[in-house]
Amino acid sequence: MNYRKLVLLCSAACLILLPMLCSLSFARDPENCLFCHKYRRLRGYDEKGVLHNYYVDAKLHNESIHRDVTCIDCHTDIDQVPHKGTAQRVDCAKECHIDKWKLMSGGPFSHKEVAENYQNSIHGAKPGDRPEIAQLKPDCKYCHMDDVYEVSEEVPSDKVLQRCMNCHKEKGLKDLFIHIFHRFKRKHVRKPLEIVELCSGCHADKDFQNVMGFTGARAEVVDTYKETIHYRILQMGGQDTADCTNCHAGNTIHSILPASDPKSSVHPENRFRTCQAEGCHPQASNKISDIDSHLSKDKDKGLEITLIELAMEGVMWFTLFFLFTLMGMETYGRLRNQDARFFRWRRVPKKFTGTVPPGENHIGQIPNLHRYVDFKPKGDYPRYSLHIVINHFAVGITFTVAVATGLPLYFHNSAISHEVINMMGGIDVTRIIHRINAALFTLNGVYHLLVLAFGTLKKMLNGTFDIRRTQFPLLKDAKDIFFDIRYFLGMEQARPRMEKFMYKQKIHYLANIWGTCVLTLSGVCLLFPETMVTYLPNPKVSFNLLRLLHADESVLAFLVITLWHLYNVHIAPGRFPLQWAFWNGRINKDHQIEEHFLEYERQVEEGIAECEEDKLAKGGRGNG
Amino acid sequence: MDNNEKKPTAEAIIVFIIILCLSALLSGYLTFRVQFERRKEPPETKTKEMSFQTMRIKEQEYKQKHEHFHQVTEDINLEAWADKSTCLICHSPYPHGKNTKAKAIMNLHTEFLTCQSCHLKYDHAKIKFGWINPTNFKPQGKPYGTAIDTASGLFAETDDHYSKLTPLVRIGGTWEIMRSDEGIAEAKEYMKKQDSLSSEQKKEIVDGLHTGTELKEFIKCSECHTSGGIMNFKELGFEPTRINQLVKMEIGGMLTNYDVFYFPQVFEEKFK
Repeated sequence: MNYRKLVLLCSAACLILLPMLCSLSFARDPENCLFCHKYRRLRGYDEKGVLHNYYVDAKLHNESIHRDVTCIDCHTDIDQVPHKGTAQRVDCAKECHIDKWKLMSGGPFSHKEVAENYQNSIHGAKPGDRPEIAQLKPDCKYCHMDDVYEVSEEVPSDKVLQRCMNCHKEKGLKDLFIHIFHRFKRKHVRKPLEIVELCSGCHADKDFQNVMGFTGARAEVVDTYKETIHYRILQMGGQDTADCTNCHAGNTIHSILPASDPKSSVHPENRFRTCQAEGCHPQASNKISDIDSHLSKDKDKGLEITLIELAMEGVMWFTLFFLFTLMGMETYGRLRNQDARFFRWRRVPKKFTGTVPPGENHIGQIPNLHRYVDFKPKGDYPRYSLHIVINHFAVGITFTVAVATGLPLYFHNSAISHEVINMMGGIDVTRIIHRINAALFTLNGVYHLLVLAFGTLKKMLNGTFDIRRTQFPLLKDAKDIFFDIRYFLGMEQARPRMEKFMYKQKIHYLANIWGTCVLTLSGVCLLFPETMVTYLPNPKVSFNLLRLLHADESVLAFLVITLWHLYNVHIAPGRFPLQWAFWNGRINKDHQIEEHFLEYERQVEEGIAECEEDKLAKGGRGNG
Repeated sequence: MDNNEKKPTAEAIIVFIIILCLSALLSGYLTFRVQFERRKEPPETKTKEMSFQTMRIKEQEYKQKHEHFHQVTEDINLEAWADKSTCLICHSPYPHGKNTKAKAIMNLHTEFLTCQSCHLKYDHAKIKFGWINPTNFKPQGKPYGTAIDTASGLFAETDDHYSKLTPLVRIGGTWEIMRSDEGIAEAKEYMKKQDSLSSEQKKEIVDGLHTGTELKEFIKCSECHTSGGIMNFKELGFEPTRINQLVKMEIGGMLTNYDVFYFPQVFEEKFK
């Protein structure tokens, strides 16, 4: 063979082989299975009416980890076309015939070890399983074909590779890079919420639970998990929290064991290590197993928690019922008795046409005096100190922020909640805001306690302390409620003469103290569970209860503030739209006389206020 | 003494009772009922209305999501045609099931051909085939399946996954598609009320809907998959490589010429 013939022969061989090499570089399909299987509609029903899908999306397959595995490497029973009626199930534990990976894995590659781990896990079908249960246990495909394993298009592996290939042109490097990067890509897109949905596919399915014989808490695992802070954070777009596998999978995701197994990551003896893992709760001690990680309002939580929960619901119902009744009666009474116009600023005092007994001191001798006095728009009599004004501002702001950042997590299924969280910059930012705000809320509480303590001490030293001028509840308050309702019903001529802080303020203030204590303590439990569970007595009850109370108390506080406080201060007839007491600490004359007559009386005695009755007796009107 | 102040009236007592009842109800709702509302899952977004059969297929696909190893991308052609063909209102998009050997092969054609292409009685001399896109989307590329990507050997990427081949008839000088909107409405109505119909009524409606269709003597493979067949692949925009594949019809030949087609000897090693 001469030189020219050799060149021609080589050229011809190249021309023939080139297209083959090109096609091989794209897909390993030497049997040309894609000739048929590339058609999307290559599907058909079997005798039982089940639709079988024979389509292979070659593009997706070529992007998958199995792109170098030929069809018949897995489908070992297929040796003819058309195929036999029933193909064997693919055994993922068999060895692959990919020579180039032998160098990396030290021999033929196999999923055998993983398959054995999985077989021993709670999900592996066991020889003793009833057929219907064995059928329900998931195989490799069940999880690995879920969306959770889809490749992210956001990761530009090819672009990254291109830069490496500028210098490193070896094909082995390219293969290695693609192989390793593939794992990163998959890992990258395994979102916790998708894992929850994957597990829920079976564990929330009622039919599945019936066949498996799951009842009680075991049948509610998904529902109860979805009530936890872990899930709510995920649902709001967070990533940095526990999904099902973080707790239940232990060392490898294929080795999920029943909680009763001493090797299980959720066995009571091992639970604290699981909580410590991945830096979630690094300080967790074995006491942390007292915390119910699937805590839910509906779950059977033991007699103590159930009774306290019922009591809390009873308190909530009664509080709201009582306050709504007061609101309704006051609205009706004030309108019926023509005590005030709706718009406060358009109020005109009535002309006093009655008579007063002769003499010098007429205080308390004119019923319903508040109807005849005028007032200064920005307030007449001093009521709150600067410290209390600051306290009120601080609690107003921190409460609003706490509601805006906390309640969306409680109402986590609501679309509005998602919008609110997004508006604030996402769940992670919201959580930080909530925590900082909680610290400020608590600090304000401490500041208020100091103001109270020093204020009371000062008054005691001056000899001016009078418990009737404080928020301390007295028997008179109960009597005031009774007579006030009688007045609203038209059974009394005038409202009772009440103290500086009438029953409404006292209810509100006591509720505030209770709420602040519960929210602070329960909030600390949520923020530092591993520490708090160590210090709280009987944490199985106290800790779990406090976690439930955080939400319950928040909702109650929110309802009381929005429905009652706003009503009394801003919406009630004669109070709309506002008074300036929140700003300058001064109360209007008509308001003081109507609802705090005894304080007005004392202020007259102290020379702070003028006697309005005397002025009316002289034929004048209030000093407005 | 103020004139406004009166003794309790019946009105006041009635108002008091009403306020008590309303307060009890509202408090009860906020205390107990809100908890139930809170746990409700967010409402699902309304899905596109599809034909009964397509909905069934989508449901089945969803259930089988974890059973099919080879991931698949969404079949947008399926939804695009769900309500645009009388046949697909009642029949599955995978309608061929009796011939167990070739049903999947026949079903694959439904991505590219309307049912009328094979199952309508007509004189071949008086019709021609054309592409029909049932959506308002105007694709830039050629219909899917007309070109081959030489690098991969697969169908070339395109944005037209909607068009199908369908027979056109000449009406008044223009070629028009054979489609009946009345038939679609009638088929939908039939599917809704079929359970309440007697077998005679069903037969009457079904026969009416199948007027002009040919279920037995349909177009044979070789009538299309051959040079000079009833479809002019070149005129229809198929590229030469693809035409070559279509007219050779290896698979069709496999099915008609052999009972069993074994892989070539070169792969024998694999089966040991």
